[in-house]
Formats: sequence, C-alpha cells, structure tokens
Amino acid sequence: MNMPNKARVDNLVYMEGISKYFGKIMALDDVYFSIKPREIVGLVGDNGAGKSTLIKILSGLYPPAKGVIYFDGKKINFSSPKDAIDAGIETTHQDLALVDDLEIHRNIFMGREPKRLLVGFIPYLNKQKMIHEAEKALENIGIHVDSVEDIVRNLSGGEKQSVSIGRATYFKAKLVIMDEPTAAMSLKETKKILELMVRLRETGSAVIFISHNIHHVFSIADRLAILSHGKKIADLKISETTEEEVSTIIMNN
Amino acid sequence: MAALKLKKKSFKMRGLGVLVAVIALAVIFSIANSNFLSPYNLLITVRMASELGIIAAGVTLLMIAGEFDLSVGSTYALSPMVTAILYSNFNVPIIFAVMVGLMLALVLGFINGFITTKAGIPSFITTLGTMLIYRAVVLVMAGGMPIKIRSQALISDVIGGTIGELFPVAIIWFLFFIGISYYILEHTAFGNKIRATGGNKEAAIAAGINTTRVKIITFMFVSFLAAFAGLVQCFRLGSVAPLNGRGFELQAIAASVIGGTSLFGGFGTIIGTALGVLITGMIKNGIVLLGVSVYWQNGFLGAILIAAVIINTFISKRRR
Repeated sequence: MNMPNKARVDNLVYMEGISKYFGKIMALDDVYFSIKPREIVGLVGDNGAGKSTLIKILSGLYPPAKGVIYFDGKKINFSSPKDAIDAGIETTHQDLALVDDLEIHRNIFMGREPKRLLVGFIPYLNKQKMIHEAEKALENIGIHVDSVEDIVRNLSGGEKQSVSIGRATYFKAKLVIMDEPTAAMSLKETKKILELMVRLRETGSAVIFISHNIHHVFSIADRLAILSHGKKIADLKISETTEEEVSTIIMNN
Repeated sequence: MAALKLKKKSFKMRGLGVLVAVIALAVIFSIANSNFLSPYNLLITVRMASELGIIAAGVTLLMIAGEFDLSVGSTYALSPMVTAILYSNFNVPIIFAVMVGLMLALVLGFINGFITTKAGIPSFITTLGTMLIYRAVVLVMAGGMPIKIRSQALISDVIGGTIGELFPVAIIWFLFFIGISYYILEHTAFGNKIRATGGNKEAAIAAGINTTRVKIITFMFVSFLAAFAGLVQCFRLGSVAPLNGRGFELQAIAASVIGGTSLFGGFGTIIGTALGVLITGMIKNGIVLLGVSVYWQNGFLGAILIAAVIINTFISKRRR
C-alpha cells in the first residue's frame, strides 16, 4: 500500500481496495488481499465474512463495485468466469458447480471440450480423450470412482467434491482457488486433498483455500487472512502465529 | 457395485418406457385393424409424424437447454407463407424465396432467444407472445386465405416430393434432422454445452460457458427446423394455409416429454423424442383406421402423455 508498484510486481494476485455491495449490504469493505506465486494462503473467518464473495470476484463471477485487481502484474477486468479461466485461474465453489445430469468426464471438460474436425470441417467431440483424461485427473488427486462415465448425481458428497477438485487441478493453473474443499470429505479423502494442495504448490501453482478448519490451514498454508463482516482484520504468516491466536481473533469479531 | 449398476439401468430405463409404449400401441392397433402394420400404412404413419418430428427434434434440444418455444407452430406457417408470397405474387426465383423464408426463421428464433436472455423473462412467456405475434403476421399477410405455390422446380421435389410414387421425401428429412440433432447433442462440444446450460446454468457459467450464446443459437436452430418442416408441407401440398401448425408447439413438447425429455432441462434424448413422435403418428393413423372420431386424436395423445410422465417420474424416484 506504500509501494503499490512493488506489490503489483511481487504478487501473482494483488487485490487493491475491493468493495462489493449486494443491494444495501456491504459484502466487502476496502479489502486488500494478495498472494505470491507458489504460495498457499488460507482464507478464514466466520460465516458471512465475505470470503466466498472475494473469491467469486477473483474467479470472474462478478466485478467489484470498487477497487482494482492485478494478476501477474497486469490490471485485469474479468467480464466472465471464462476470462478468469483463460488467465489461468481455476476455482472450485462451495455449491460444487457440477451438473448432476452430466457424466463425470463431461463435467470435467465442460466449457473446454476437446474436439477434432472430421474431414476438415465437421466438429467432433473427442470423447475417448475426455474419458481417458478424466480418469487421469482423478488418479492425480488420488481419488477413485467406479467409472467416469457415471453421472454425477449418483456420486457421494465426497466423490462429487473430488470431481470438482479434479477439474480445477487438472488444467495446470497459475492460481487454484478452493472454497471449503474438504467440507464433505472423510478423513482419508481430506488428507489426500491437503497433500494435493502441497503438490500444487510444488508444481508451480498458487493456492487460495477457504476453510472453517483452522487446523487444516495451519498444516499446509504459508499465510492466512482473516475476514470479518466484509473487512480484512488480520493477515498473518503461519510461522508468526498460532491456532489459538487465530481462533481468538475470529471469536472476538 | 450392484447398487451402481441398478442406478445406471434406471437411467436408461427412462428411454425404454417409450419403446414399450410404441410396441404396445402397434400391437393394440394391429389387433383392431389388421392393415395397421402393412408396409403402405406404416409409411403413412411415419409420414404423418415426419413434419412434427422435424420440429420436435429442435424442441427437444431447446428443452434440454432449459427453455421452451411455443412459437414453432407460427413459424411453421410464417416462413413458408413468406416464401409462397415472394414466389407466387412477386415472381422471386423459388430458390431465393426458400432462402429468405429460412433466413427469416433464423431471425424469428434470434428474437425469441434475445428477448428471453437479455430481458431475463421465462421463455414460456416470450414465445407465448411471439407465437401470437408471428401468427398475426401470417394471417395479415395472407388475408386469411391459403396461398398457392405451384412450382415445378427441382427444389420443390427435393423438399416436398416423393421417391418413386410412394416414398415421401418428408420421411428422409425427418431422419436427417433427427440424425443432425442427435449428432449435435451427443458428439459435439456445443451439445455438451447445451446439456450443461440446461442441467445447471450457474455451474455452466462458472465453467466458462456463454449460456446466453448457447440458448440463442438453440432458439435459432428450433425456428429453422420449424420453418423447414413448414416448407416440406408447403411443397408437398402446393399451398400454405395461414392456420397451419396450430397446436404443433404443444404436440412437439408432448412428444419430447413422452420420449423422456425433462421439463426442467438437462435431460432428454433424440431417440426418445423420435419414438414419441412415432407414437403421435401411430395415434393419428390408428384412430382413422379404427373408425374412431378424428377429434379423439389429441385426446388420446393427452392420455398417453400423462401416463408417460407418471411412469417416467416413478422410475426416477425408484432410482434414489
């Protein structure tokens, strides 16, 4: 904030003075948020703090009412989620954003279906590739489903979440945003997802994840930001704080 | 594993239901009148279904995308009417007259899609309105009277003629558009986007799909098919009557739903719709062969529609 140019350049994402209203409700109030390449940042805070709103703005679902966002050093103006995806931002949402009536592999490639051209001009969906890559995507995160040709409606909550995460992590993004990635998961599945986030960092992605579980955040994150009633009330390095301190801050606001 | 297999089976059983209905109707009608299954009569049955079938293929794609088009019946009359008037009253060459009619349909479909998506009103309402508006335009243009179209040109035979003496080209067009619609839905990226848009619009948007564009294009596709179906009838009969197509919009929806298409979007099969359309043809034809009053045609269709939805719903619930 004192050296805006440095902040823009050093960080993968620099969100400057972000405000967002829904009618009269102020969901976000002058929030500054940043994340460096290959950093894992936890976004925590009580319900209604504005965490989901902040990442929805970053993933292109809606624009901020006030404020500027810099991605990779450039000012950005996402007019749709497609812009964010094209820029290298992948997101999983709390409501999973999967189509129940569609098969797993079609869900994973929704919006960027691999295609070929038959005899030079007839568009042809490459289903074999979709099935094969979908299986790889799920293997990569260590999750197993019976068949990727099954429709999502038939999956358990944890399996659905895995598909959502599998999609976000398959496309080699610069930034992966996850909203409550372990919410519906068993202990085993949760461990795999936490390990996955560490692997993402190792392979070059930055990760933002929203979680109600401070312990999970402390086990893998480099930093955490605490939101409360639309404002950022703390931004701390994990090494410089404790779980008790963070819990206390959240409770007292 | 067994539970999963049962779930998968139920998913496909929704399609089986309509196949069972087709077979059951065939059996019932052929018992009542042994001529029902004669090759000549089967041909008539399918031909009676063809024009509706072309429209229903498009309507199914649109319903999968989560929208309705009640204006197809009016477009079915309006596009060929414009073609007929241009050709008969203004001596426009027939090929151009046909092209103008089809391009007009694309515009009519665009209007439906544009209003629905940009104004954010239910397509049911938009197309209820355009159904009335487009029909009014047809009636005014025709002055309430049928317009004749006497053309010996090749295109007249290609669209509305017969192969040999007996095989109506209409059936080939029906199979053609069913095939195209099936291909789009199953084998193209656009088809996947249609299913995503109708299945969960918010998820589709979050995945980067331009759902507005998907819907508008699909609306244009439906109108094009409705216009083409109208041209098939126009060239087959040699005239266009201003009230043509009245009620087709509901029959197309009924055929789709009987075939398993969901009213809520996200699910539907072209094969199911083709069978649903076949059922409408069988009813129309069977009623006549039975000597039952023609007025019962739609009544019969209505009864089958209700039965089909009850059965499909029952199967869906058992799946859970």
